[in-house]
Amino acid sequence: MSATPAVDTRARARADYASLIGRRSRLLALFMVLLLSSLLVDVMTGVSGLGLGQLVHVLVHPEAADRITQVIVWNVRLPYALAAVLVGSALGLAGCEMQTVLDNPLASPFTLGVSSAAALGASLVIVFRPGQIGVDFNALVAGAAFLFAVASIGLLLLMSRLRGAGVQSLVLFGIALVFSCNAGVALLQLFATEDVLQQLVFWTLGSVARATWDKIAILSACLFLVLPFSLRASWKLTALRLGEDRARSFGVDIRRLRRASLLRISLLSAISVAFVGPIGFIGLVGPHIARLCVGEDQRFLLPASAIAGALVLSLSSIVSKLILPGVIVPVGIVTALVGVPVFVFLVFTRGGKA
Amino acid sequence: MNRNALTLKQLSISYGRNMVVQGVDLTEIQPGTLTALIGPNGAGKSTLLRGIAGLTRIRGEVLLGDTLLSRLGPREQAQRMTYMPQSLPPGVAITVIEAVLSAVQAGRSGQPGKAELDQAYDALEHLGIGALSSRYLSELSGGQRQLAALAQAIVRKPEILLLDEPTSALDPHYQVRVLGNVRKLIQAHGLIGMVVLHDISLAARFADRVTVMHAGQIAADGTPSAAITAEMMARVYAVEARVEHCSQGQIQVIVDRALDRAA
Ligand SMILES: Nc1ncnc2c1ncn2[C@@H]1O[C@H](COP(=O)(O)OP(=O)(O)OP(=O)(O)O)[C@@H](O)[C@H]1O
Ligand SMILES: [Mg+2]
Repeated sequence: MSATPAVDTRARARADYASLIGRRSRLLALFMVLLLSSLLVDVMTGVSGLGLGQLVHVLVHPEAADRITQVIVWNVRLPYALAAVLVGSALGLAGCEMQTVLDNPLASPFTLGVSSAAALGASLVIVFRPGQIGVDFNALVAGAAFLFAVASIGLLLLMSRLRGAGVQSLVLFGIALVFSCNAGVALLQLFATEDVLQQLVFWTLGSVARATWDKIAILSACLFLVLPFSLRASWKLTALRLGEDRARSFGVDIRRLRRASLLRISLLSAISVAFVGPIGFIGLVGPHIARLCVGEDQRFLLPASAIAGALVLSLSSIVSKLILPGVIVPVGIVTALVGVPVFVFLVFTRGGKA
Repeated sequence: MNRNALTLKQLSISYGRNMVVQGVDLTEIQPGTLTALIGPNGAGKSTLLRGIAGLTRIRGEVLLGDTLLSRLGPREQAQRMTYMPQSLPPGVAITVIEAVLSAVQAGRSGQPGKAELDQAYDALEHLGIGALSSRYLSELSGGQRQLAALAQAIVRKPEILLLDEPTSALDPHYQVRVLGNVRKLIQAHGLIGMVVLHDISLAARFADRVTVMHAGQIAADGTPSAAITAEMMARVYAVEARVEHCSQGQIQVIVDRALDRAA
């Protein structure tokens, strides 16, 4: 064997790797462009149509627009549309990490009880209406939802510390949590008055119409706080995907990785569900769409999952305004309607990776 | 270069009440040598390697020279030893080069640079699979995946290389090539190599020392010709076998029939 072929192989391999990285980076950029377009369309869509020129004008010179357009854009359209993007990326990112650290493709904040626990917390407040403690009722509902969501992940964490509790039993535990919390909510519904019942049902249908600028600020702060830590753990998560023993043998502290990851997941999903209610499917389908497009190198999969989750929720938000004229259907109902076809389309047309 | 020998003292490992490695003593596993660990299914070979690597709770001591490896933190243990599990999971959508990079990168922070990339390519080329570098793991054959896993192990340049059945899915060409390369690597860098093998003739051909495990204990230990005997084959594997030396001096084991397992 002469030295030349080896050098050639190496050069070819380098070029292949570079083009792989380039292709995935371009895909991420394309995802971003799609997301921004979806965001724009989302803001433009509504009962009173808004042209692109008009919209840009209102955004750039808010004071020059008439009062009504100002209110519609700044108090309704923009916060709702941004909430869809932020919640979508939070759930996509949380779902992606969850699927890796729990080694289960069906893991997501919704399927493992985080949303159900939040719903239980919110329902308790809605039904028992703790009297005058000087806190806004809606804030109280959101607070209870948040606490219960965090507690559900706390329970998962505690379980993971029990010796002998494997990852599979964690997943089963999460599913058990879904059923118990749902039973709790059903029980509360049974005793609720008609008026309260309506509020309960409405809350459990997640809706971005609960967004306010405060919530958006908190959500984005949380997202920008968590994302760098996720990305820093990307090689560890990639190694974990190849098996626990192998990752440990590479020097990954699995317990610590899992704990830190569950902490990030709980923050992202608890804040999302507290602010806009339970929204299913995004945490599951976002990562799967991302995986089909960019593969499982977590350097790309993590951001792609966030963007894919945001895109699906943003598209759902647009659709939610178009289904019934004049009515905004809660986006939680629409996510599955939009997500399923996107997902099926991808599975059947690509099935590969970049 | 490492000059210290590996010693196991009264190493025991249990799963619940079931003690599957029972007070194993192995002395003077020398740097630059390859030790083959053989024995029937369920004898405790994988468990022993995982115990040495610090991946499972043990009683007893693992010593490298005077250093008590079993007392080191997981991070230091991982730096000095690499354990390669029996199989790489199928269906993971990352490329071979990324898998090898993850072995380099997982224990540290930051992103791989040119040096890390070169290390990864070196490992692949060393095993003769440079051409697979941009293929997805999910699209490899079982043997190709095994070679990728082996590249992950050697790229880490550990002092102690623990390989669990690295050749079980390989064709004759790669069996001989891989074990030959591992042996060269071990000799060149003074590594301590322990390899679980089921193919006794391969073990005899490539290993400097053969250790036979049976029901959690060491049933035989020594040079290939000392450890591999017809008596051992009957006692440990419950087979009637002939141990022949072929014209080139290699040991060949010919199994004639299975014996009834003694109660
Ligand atoms: N996770 C586990 N929990 C309980 N028992 C286990 C576990 N892993 C292995 N064992 C038991 O420990 C014993 C030794 O298993 P080990 O995997 O070390 O065998 P081995 O020598 O590697 O076998 P093989 O040649 O089949 O790979 C077996 O009896 C097995 O049933
Ligand atoms: Mg084994």
